[in-house]
Amino acid sequence: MNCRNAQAKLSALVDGELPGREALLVREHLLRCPRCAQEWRALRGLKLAMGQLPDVEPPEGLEERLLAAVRREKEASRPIRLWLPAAAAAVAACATLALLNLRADEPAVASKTLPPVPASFEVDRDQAYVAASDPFGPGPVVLAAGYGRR
Amino acid sequence: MAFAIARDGNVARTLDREHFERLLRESYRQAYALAYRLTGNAADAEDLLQDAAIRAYRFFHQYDPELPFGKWLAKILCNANVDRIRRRGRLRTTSLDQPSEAGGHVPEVADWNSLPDRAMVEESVSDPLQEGLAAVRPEFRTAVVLADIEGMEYEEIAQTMGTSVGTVRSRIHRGRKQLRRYLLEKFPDFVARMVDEL
Repeated sequence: MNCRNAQAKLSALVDGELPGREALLVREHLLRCPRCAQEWRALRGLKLAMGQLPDVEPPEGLEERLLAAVRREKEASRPIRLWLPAAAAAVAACATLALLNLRADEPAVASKTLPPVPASFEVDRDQAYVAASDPFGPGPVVLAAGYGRR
Repeated sequence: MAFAIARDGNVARTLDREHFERLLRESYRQAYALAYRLTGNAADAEDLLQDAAIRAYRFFHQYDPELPFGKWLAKILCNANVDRIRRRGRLRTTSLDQPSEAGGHVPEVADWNSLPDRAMVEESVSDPLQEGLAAVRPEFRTAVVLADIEGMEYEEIAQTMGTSVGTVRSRIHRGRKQLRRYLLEKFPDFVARMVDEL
């Protein structure tokens, strides 16, 4: 292993994140190379120093300020959340009423366009058709007035 | 029925809010320490943590209770910090992790006066390490802080930063190199003491 390869892996070695064989190769290189060994010591010292940084104490009242900020967020989003179920219920009610109204109108429209036909008239019409089609029949059939309109 | 569902939803949300506040109370101290190490001063740390807490509340429905809340909050905080730096227009958008296609050269910091967090450097003169951290690129700084101060493993850092273990390894190595260079230049005695104490 050369210095370039070894130096790229020194931080991972310091962190114990280098796989076994790779770690072994880098350690072998460090035994032979004082410059890389010095670099490894420096990085290890830096990591130890970082780990010894004093704890950071939060400023007074931070907990209350954070909770207050979160509650403000809750309040800001509340009106929308409360209106949503009410708005959904109103839309559903309007849709139901409109549907009921449409169905109530349906029979009136049908009665205007298709008046009922008496069954006796249907029978007369069929018999007249059969009689007119018979080549041995008595002659033309006289149909009732207004027949052609049906 | 619709109103019953709405009422049940409100009860569930109230329980969620109480649960969230309890978890935040338990975790905010550690989160503040991380925010302070990332920003370098108390005012920015508090702003960052507040931003992260609000984001966490908004997305609390996505939180997996099987995982520690503190780790989840740390992840949100790191992302919020990247956004904060971007908003300030101080974060370069070119990748510092991979060599560029053209020249294969990865830029290193040469001029400390043009650092991304120059203001942070000026505000943290009392602590060489904290000042040095400010001199490190934000992505590298985050990786180093998570490894050395939060004590996370590379896999955990990768999950927190939303990247690969290989990238984490590279960021930590480059971050430490930048930090060491800065300390050698600005605080040579401090570096000498640091090595002597080993």
